[in-house]
Amino acid sequence: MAASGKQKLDRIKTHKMPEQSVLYDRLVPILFVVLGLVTLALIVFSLGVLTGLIHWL
Amino acid sequence: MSVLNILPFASTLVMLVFTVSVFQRYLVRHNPAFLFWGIGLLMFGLGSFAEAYLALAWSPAMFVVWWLFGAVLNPAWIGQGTLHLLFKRRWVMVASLVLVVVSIASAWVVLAAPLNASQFHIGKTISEQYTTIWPAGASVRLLPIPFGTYGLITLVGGAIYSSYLMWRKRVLPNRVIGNIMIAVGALSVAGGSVMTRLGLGQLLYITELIAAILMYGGFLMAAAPGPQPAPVDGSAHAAGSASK
Repeated sequence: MAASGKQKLDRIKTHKMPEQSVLYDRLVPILFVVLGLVTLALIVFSLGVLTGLIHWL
Repeated sequence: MSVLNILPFASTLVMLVFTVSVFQRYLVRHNPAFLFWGIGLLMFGLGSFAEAYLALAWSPAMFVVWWLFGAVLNPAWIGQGTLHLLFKRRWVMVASLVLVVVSIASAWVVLAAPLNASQFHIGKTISEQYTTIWPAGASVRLLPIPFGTYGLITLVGGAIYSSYLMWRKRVLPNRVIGNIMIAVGALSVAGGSVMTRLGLGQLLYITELIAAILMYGGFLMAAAPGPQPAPVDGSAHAAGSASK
C-alpha cells in the first residue's frame, strides 16, 4: 500500500501546472478573490434576510 | 412562446446528461458524494423541466415541483455531495441525516401551502409571477434562503477550497479550472435567484442554463483522465472533488 501511495504521489508530481503561466499565476488567484468576495456577499445578504435585518418577503 | 421560455428545455437536457453520468459514477464507486450530487442534480433538472412545462400550461403539481426542487432543495443536496468529497467524517453523515429530515419537513410545508392559481398567466416566465401565486408573507417563500445559503457555503465554498488546494501545490491544473467552473456556475444561478426576487425574473432561465453548462463542463474537466490523487488522510485533500 505504501509503495502504491508513493507511486501515486510521483504521478501527481509529474502532472504539474505550467511554469510562468498567465492563467495560473495571474488569472486564477484573481478569480479566487473575486469568487470568494461574491460568495461572502451573498452569504451576508442571506443572513441579513434570515435575521430580519433585510426586508425580503 | 418566447425564446426565454425555451431555455429551460436546454437546461433540462444538460442536467439529464449530467445526472446520468454522476449516477453512473456512484454505481461504480459507491461514494455517497455522488449519490447526493446525483439527487441534487436530478432536483435541478426537475426544476428546469417544471419551468419548461409551466411555459406551456398551468399545473399545481408542476409549480410545487419547480418550487420545492428547483428553488428550495437542490443547492443544499449538491453541496452535501461536495461535503462528502471533502471530509470523510462522521459529522458529515450526521449532517446528511439532518438534511434529509429537514428536506422532508420542507416538502410537507410546501405541499400544505395554499396556491393562488388565478394569478398564473401563460407566456410569462414562472420566475416573474411566482410571488403572486404564493400568498404574500407565506413562510414557504422564505424556504429557499436557508437551503440556498447552505448550498452556497458547501458547494461554492467547497469548489473554491478544492481548487485553491490544488493551485497552492501547483498540481492537477484540470481540477483547478474544473472546480472554478463549478463555483462560477453555482454562483451564476445564486445571482439569478437574487435578481428574480428583485424583479428581474426573466434572467433566471439564462443563469440556470449558464450554471448547467459550466457545472457539467467543470465536472468533465475535473474528471478528465490523469493521475489519481494521493491517498487522503480523511480530510481536505479529497479536493479532487468531482473527479474522485
